Amino acid sequence: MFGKRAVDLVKELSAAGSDSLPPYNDEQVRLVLEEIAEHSATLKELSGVLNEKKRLREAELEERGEPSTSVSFGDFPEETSAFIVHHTSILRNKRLLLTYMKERMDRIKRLRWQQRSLSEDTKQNLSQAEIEWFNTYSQLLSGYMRRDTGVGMDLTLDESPPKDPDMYVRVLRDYGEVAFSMGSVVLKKGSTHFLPRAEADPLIREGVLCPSQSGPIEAFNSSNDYV
Amino acid sequence: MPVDPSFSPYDLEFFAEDDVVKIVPSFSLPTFSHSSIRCIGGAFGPFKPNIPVEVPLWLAVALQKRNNCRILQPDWLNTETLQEALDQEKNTAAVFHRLPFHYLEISKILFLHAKEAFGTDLLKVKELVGDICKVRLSKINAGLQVLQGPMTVKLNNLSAAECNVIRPFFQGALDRFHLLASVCLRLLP
Amino acid sequence: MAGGAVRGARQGGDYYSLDAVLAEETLIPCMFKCGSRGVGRALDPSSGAEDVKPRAAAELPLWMLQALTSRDMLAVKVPRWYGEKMRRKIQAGAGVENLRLRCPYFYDVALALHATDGAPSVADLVISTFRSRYKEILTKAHSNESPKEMARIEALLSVEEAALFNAGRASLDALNRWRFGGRANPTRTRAKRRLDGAPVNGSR
Repeated sequence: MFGKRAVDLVKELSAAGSDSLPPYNDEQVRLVLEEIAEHSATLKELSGVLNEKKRLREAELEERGEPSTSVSFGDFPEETSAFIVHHTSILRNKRLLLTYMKERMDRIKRLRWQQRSLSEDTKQNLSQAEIEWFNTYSQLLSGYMRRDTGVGMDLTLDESPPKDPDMYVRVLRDYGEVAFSMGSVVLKKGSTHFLPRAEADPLIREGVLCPSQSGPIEAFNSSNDYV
Repeated sequence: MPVDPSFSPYDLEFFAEDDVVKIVPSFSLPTFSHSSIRCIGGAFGPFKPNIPVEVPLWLAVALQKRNNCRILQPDWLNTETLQEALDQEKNTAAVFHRLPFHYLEISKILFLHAKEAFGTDLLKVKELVGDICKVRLSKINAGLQVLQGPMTVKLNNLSAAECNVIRPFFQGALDRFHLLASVCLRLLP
Repeated sequence: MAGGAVRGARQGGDYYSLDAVLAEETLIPCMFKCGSRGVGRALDPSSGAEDVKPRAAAELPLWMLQALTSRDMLAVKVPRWYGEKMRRKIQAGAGVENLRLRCPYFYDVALALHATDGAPSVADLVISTFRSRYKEILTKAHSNESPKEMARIEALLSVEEAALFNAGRASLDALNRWRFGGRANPTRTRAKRRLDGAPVNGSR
């Protein structure tokens, strides 16, 4: 059936699920383009045949002295229907190829919001054009987030906005005294502190601190003292 | 990247933080504006030690975290009122009891950040909110089951989280009914 | 001409949609009213002939139909999954029918057929099908069945129904996750891991 190869491309993406990116199928895309070229050649040939048949029929009618304007391609359904089949197949192939490209592009775009650069593994699954597109999109987004040319904020940083500029953290291992913007704190294993998010973050990544849902019980008790 | 146009429960929690709760500040705010603060959402204050004042939830939690206030238990969030609400929910199958639009969000935030406001009732209050939510969800479910075509189903007094939980399914089903019925109008019930 | 009409009727916005594209691959039994030159083997690999003869039966994908039917070159028959047997089963209660097996895009194919010139309409059948299955999908989506049972139910649903079913489940799951703890958007990390194939390292 016509369009079979192209639909296999789309099925590849559909089967992989919207969160993954299978390798770009260069070979299959080339085959689809070849199929389109074949359809196109057949169309040319059919159109030649149709025009010739129409011309002959018109000449025939004129010879008999009958009006020849009523001759249409519809009078030759064998060729016309084949013409339609080939033409529809070209449009179908085009749509499938575009869907394949567009869906991949959307998924690559999502990658940029999840990670700054492409990992080697991912890169291998992208075509050259897709890698270029990723880089261009990445530049565009970075420019938009830069301080001088854009909003001055890393929009990919927080998937959901932080509740509070400060956060509760629990100390996982003794780290000694650290100077924070609101004063210095002794980070002792097991203790809980309320620290500026941006300043706690490097220590969380280092494994010294971990985010904690709420403060120590003492905090609640001590708040009662004010009443 | 905004892909999903619907709200997540976390988005709703964010909206709920604009709702007002009562706090007892443990500080005073001496400013020229009668010790009140101007925010986008309005002016709040004055803040004087031991004088209760109404502030948005986000501010209450921020102050509480820094030990600058004590959040008070909202009057709808206590065992008697909730028990009454639960009984009503159970007794009337078609009607939903009127609760704050963000009752689930507010109670979740308070259970986390204002535990002491509930004293020994904390567990009981938590349990009641959970039960109310459960009863209401199953009532909503029953209400939606009567849908037979692209038409309305009357469900009043639903809360934000409840609307949100049925939205994807309900909207999808209505769209599907509409799509099917629009090709064949005479087939409508 | 062509291709446009099938999606033109309804699916204009679905040009790039994977599901819309795949739904249109569904093979529909047809009969050529006229002969067709040189496309015999492509349309029916089992036929040895290059040309299609008049009144020849063929199974054509949905996307091919409208261009031919609009010129009265093709007659469309009712696919078996919308046939009399199915009609009787729906009347007896459609809740148990495995639509995924019969036609994964049960509803969208029916709508596309409805929009195709000269094709038989089965809109009434699919409306009653959806009406009788809707409640079951809703109840099951919001029930506390095991993941295994959920997977079993989902496998019986058409793609359109499954989308609805999963939307219902996802929103309830999201609510419960939020109420009973856990981080915001926990699915995101999982997605990340699958996307780049490498384990997620730390925060950003």
